[in-house]
Amino acid sequence: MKQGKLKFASSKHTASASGAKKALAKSKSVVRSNAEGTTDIKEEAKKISIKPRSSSNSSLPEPSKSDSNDQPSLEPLPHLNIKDPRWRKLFADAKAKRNRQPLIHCTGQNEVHQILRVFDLNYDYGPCIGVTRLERWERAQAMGLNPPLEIRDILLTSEGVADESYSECVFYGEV
Amino acid sequence: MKFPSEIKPVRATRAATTVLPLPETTQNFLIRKGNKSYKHQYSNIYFLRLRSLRQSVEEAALAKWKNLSGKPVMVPRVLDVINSQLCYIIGTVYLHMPLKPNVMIDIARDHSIPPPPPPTKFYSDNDSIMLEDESGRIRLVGEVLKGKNIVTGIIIGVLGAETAEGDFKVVDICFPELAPQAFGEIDLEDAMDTDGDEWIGFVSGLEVGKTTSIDAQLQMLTEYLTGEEGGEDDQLSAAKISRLIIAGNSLAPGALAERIETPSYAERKARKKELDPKTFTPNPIYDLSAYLLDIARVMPIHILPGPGDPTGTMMPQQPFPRGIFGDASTRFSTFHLESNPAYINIASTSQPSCKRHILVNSGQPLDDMFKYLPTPPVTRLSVLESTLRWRHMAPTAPDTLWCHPYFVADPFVIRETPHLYVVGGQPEFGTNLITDETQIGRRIKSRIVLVPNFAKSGMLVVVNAKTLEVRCVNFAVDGMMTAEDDVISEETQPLYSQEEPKLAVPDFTMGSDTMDSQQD
Repeated sequence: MKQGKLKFASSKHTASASGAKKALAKSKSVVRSNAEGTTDIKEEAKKISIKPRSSSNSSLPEPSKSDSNDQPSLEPLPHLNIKDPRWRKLFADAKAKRNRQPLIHCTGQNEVHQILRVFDLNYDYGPCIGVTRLERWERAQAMGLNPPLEIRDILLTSEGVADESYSECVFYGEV
Repeated sequence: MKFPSEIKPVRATRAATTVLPLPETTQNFLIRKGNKSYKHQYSNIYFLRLRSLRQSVEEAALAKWKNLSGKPVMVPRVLDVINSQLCYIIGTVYLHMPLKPNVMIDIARDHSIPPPPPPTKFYSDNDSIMLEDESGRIRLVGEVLKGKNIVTGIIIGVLGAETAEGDFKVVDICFPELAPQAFGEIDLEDAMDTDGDEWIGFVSGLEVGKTTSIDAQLQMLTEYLTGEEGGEDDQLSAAKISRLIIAGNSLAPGALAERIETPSYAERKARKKELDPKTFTPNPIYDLSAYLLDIARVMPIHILPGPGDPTGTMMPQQPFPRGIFGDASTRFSTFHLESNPAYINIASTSQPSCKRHILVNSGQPLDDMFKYLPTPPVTRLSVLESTLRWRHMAPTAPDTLWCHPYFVADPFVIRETPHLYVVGGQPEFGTNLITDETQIGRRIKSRIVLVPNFAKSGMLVVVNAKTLEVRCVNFAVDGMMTAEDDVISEETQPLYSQEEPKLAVPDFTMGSDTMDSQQD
């Protein structure tokens, strides 16, 4: 059995700067209004995430196109802005976790990857292996552990559901 | 002398109880589409268990140890204990036992010779107890631990201090203690007028289809329950039984099991006549369905699968499919197919405010836990009582007891202490009434019952729904072959250790009336 290699996603995520702010404002209202139907969102996210899983070996499909094909009735998910000021605090926490030491094997890992990895390895929310990050977040929320809401915002963007390096845990494919 | 016209015929009507729908908060043991995934790791179950029980252990520990002179503090992480400082920690117990089946030893053994038989007890003198939480584990030492029932997977709090070697010397232990009960406080004091009371019958281990058939006892049981057998007194007492709960092992376990164990004299004798149509049943399920149809016509039945039954082997076992018992299960809506374990809520019809919360299982958790503890001091009844104090009915799942990988919640946590906790498939009968008082002054009462295997003991256990009193009905046939080679001539008294008070007396025996004419 060939030993797996560490995967660092090298695909570029184009976040159009002009539409970014509008999309963010829209996404906030979409997510907040759907706050009650968390199970619906989980299932919708599952439906969306099933498609890219089967095509995991091929290159990523266009995020916006795949959304509109799968769920024509729902609003398209917003794009992920890596430099969004909302993630600043989480990124600062992630940096503090590693005592501000520089990362070593980090080619292709952006700030969002680091934030999500710290969320994965935080044992307050339970073990991370075998479940998607969104499922683990939903469970933590249901148990009253108050996981950061920004993580859910990240996971429910179009890149967050389509890209495995965002939707699945760090150990996906390795363990 | 009474003339026939003077004897008034007694019309007995069956006592009735109703099944209450389970509230939303009760754990559901059914594995549906939502939780059927096997992708999750079992570590989730330990995480969920610690999360749900940690709060109650903290409260119990605080109440128990806050007034101590050393002013112990609670250390949140197990690895943060400071040397020689009195403190208490909370975590999951892990017992490191060399005799426990180990997959590494299994792989490394010599495959040319057959495997050694699985040990009946994992307990040995080389065991070590560890306490584990999210941060890590620490070894526990101390004489206090020897007297208590401790198995892998329970959540406890321990008071003590770290030693120089890095172990934790334990001075005192704290369990979550009994959970609050459903339906508020129950009053068992008014046991004076028990005439109109409803009783619930429990039986386990009918084992239809075994080579040593017990058809006579099964027929007697069916006739007793339908009221066809015995005199007036028997019919009146049978009429009080409002429902029957069959706790597992209704069908004999497969022939494969007999290859490993040495067959008893009775089984070897029966096997000599293997092809004899009288003892060979090609389809035991038809025989069982016939008995169940007779009983289902007169009373509601709840049937649970057991370790020998043809359903899954993982806990919780899923209910039998509805069509498996033919007319008995399909024609009667009062025939309930339950999962193993099962929660059943009962209300009495004569006094609708009297509601009882019953927990039944077929014995696998208790049998598994019993392997971890040394037998002469520890009895099955004390282990069962301990499960209520641990607030967990199957702590050894998923370690040695096969279990479904749960992700959202651990369903074996006992959130509300049941009024009646019945375990089937046991070698002997036993019962105890556990009473306790919580910190806020509420009294908790729980009756625990061990139901013996019907195939070996011929016993039906009936429990009074209102007063939780227990009686046994023994069905015996003179000259019948039971467990070993002895022919039983009289019922044997169940054995109790000094700790358990003998609260239930076997009330009346049913000898076979038809055999009298053939007796010596």
